[in-house]
Amino acid sequence: MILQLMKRDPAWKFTPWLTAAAVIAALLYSRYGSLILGATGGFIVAIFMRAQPHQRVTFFEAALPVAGRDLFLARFLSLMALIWLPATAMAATLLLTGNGAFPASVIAGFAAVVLTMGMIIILSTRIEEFAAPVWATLACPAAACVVLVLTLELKHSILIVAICGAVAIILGVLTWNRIPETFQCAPIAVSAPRKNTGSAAPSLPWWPIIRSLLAWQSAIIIPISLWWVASGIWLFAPMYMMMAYAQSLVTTRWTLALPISRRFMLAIALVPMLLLLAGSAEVGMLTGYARQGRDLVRLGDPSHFRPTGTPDVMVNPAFWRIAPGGRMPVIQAPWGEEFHPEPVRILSLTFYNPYATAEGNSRRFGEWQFARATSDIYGQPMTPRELAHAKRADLKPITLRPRMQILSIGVILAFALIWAWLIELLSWHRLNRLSATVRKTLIYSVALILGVTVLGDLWVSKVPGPVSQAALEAGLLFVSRHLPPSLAVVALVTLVPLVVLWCLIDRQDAASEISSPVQQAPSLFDRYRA
Amino acid sequence: MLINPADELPIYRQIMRQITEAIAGGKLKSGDKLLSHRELSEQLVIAPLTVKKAYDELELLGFIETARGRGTFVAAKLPVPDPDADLERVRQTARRLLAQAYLAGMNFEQVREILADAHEHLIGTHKSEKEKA
Amino acid sequence: MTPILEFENIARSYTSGVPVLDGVSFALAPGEVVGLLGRNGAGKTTLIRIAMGMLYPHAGAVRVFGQSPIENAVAVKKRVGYVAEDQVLPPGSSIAELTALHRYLFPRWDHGLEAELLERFALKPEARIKSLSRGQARQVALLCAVCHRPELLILDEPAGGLDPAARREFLETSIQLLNREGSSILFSSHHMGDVERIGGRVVLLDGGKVRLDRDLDRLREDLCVAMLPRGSAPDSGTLERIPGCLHARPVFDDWHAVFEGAPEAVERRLNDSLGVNGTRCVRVPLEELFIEMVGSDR
Repeated sequence: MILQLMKRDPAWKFTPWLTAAAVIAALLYSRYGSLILGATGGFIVAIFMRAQPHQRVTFFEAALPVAGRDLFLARFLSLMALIWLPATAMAATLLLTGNGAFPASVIAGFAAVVLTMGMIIILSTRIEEFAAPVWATLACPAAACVVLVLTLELKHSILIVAICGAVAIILGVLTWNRIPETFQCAPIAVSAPRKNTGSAAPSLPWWPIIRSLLAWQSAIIIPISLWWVASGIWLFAPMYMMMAYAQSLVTTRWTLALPISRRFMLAIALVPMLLLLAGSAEVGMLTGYARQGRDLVRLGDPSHFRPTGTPDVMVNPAFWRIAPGGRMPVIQAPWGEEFHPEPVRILSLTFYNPYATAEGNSRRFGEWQFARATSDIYGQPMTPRELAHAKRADLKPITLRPRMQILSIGVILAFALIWAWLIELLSWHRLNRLSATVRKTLIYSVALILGVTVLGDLWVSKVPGPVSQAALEAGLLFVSRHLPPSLAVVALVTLVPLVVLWCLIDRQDAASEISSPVQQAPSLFDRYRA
Repeated sequence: MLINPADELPIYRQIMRQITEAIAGGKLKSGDKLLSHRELSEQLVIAPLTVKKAYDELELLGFIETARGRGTFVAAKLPVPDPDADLERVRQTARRLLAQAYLAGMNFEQVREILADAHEHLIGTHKSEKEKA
Repeated sequence: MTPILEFENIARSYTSGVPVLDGVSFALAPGEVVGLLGRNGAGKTTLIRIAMGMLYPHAGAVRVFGQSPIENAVAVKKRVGYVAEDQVLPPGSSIAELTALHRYLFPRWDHGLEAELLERFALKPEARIKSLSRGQARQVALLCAVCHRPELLILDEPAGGLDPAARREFLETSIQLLNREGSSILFSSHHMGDVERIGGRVVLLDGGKVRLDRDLDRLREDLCVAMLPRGSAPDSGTLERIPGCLHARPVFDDWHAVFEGAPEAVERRLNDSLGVNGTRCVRVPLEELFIEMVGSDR
């Protein structure tokens, strides 16, 4: 019976997906390190919230002739499966693929223990009732992240994990003894008269619409997206932001009966999100946070030092070049010393790092290459020491200068708009005329193409980090080089595609319809206690 | 006035019947003002068009008159009944009444008593209202 | 005179090959009240959403005040009031906040009516929607729908799940609107009593088509249900081919058939044409008629 109950548990249904994601992340971990953990982190959080860990039972389950403990056990086991199966799969994959991944698999185990504790805390809150408060679901991943970071920073991490495990077990046992035979759909205790009233004379008539723009899930999705944009990893951040947009389409459905133009609703939902993205990206670039920890140019690690003492010069892939037709050029210093760059083939294109050095090159050649790289990236030739000094004096690379700021924000917004367009496309009225099979095939094939693109990007990439973002940045640098110096022209060139995309979404939005029943999902400000 | 949607008669006929009964019983007299269809429709919670239809039919039959801008009144001259048709209708009703009474196990005497009671009731209310006035 | 609302050969399906609506046409004249009847899933809500411009018809045209509710959505919605069973107001907003929004959106908003309805429904303006019961929330929706004195009121099962007293208050408000503004009303309901009270005309949807469209009073007087022994006809088709027959279905040992005409005349006609005795014809209230028209075979 518990198996039957688990089968219809959302957490159990999501477990295979999460496990698959964990295995893929583990496979890619050796190449991309923490970057891939960040990407999967967002996915995990999204699935975690879809699994609704705060909901102990639904009305349907509560009405079944099943004891509270069995219901609880089914829910608990499903949630544990959601945590432990992916964690185990990840650790196993890491250990099997080997190459020094032992700490990473330990981290996966630690994370699972910490999350288990969080889950038990959520499940034990207000145990007599159907559901724990929604904020518990919002707080748990955040708290787990903090604990995890602390655990890894501190020396006695094993001790902390042991404490978390002990807390989880003790709390679990205590909770098990407190589980009622049947759950209540409302608190047993009469609540004190809460302020459950709004203002009688509101100043802003639009307030009901504004407050229903944000779904409660957005409280996590939006900060994650903003943090990514600010930290310069902006390839997938717009997608997360547009998840919040998709949610807002559901929470504002009640306005469909009102004489408000679709165009206005589109603007009121989308423009603030775009502004947030742009603002966050701008803040990241102004403060230099967008490049923190990821230097555009640096000398190779000591292990890369040649026996001759010539350092290798590593630059961000955005500054790599394409060898036309696969013929590698020869880099020649003014004094005649030569260097044959190493070709890197990605999707039948040949790339090379024009600033690198080889075994036989002299130390002087390495310094010359570094000066060349800095003059291309920072605008003036520098030695590593001068560069470090200039950085402290807030020297900005060309990727963070106003021209590139405008272009980068333009690309981020364009991505957001493309995602919004795809979301609108899903409710296109012509799509509803097709048969269900065709509709499903279309949606799945689009999802498949997207998935293959994202994974494929990581797969084919032989440089550190996803190729797409580096390629896009290289493209932006190219555009920036070929535009007139005036910033106004750059802004105009950025604006034109954005306006075109906006018009496209506007047209798509006008042709969308809602054929599913109108269900009002609670917005961030209208949390229910189910 | 009471309306029962589940009744065999359409609602507008129920209104007509109750008004004609009130006129026959003397509760309503020539020249008495009736409620406007708006007022009546809001009071009875039925569509105004239905009330209008009942009034129109009554006016056609000559029971009431509408004076533009002043309202609806019971006709000054009540229609002279068509004796043949009325006789036939009363006969039919009498047959139905007797059939019902016999099925209920009553005899003719009891039916006669019931009729006398009903007569008393109609006239009685008529009189008491006159006395009040 | 242009109709207030006009459906012309509307077709719509959700799964291809399974039409929910298949050529539905009817119109509402100014001041007319139409009750939309049909079983669950007969397409009433779909039709109403098409009228609101929320769904595209796959064929045919819909015009509200002579305009397309999709292309002129804002202009049309300014003159329409809409209450649906599954329409949920934003839970966190207070009634006052909602009415403020409506006042802003509808220039014709009637403050007097708003105050009157708030009092009649005993609603506190500062109460949040989520603190209200289901019936009260529906009353707020009705208040929002009628206080701008719409020319067309569209009610999609407005009284579903309401107690009889709340339903009556709902009807009173709608009738008041009819009286004061001469508005038209299109409403769907499963409460035949409510339909009989306010419905001037009845449109019955079944199998994606309009099965019946006529005045409520004439429905009562012109239609009757004939009950014949099962042996008098081999199948329902035979009965339905008799002139005046709208629908026939087997019920245990009888056929039940809806006929046009007075009961005595239909009885005579049936006995003549089928040569059977024992046919009984009766006039029935709307609820029974509805069941005879769309009920399943027994």
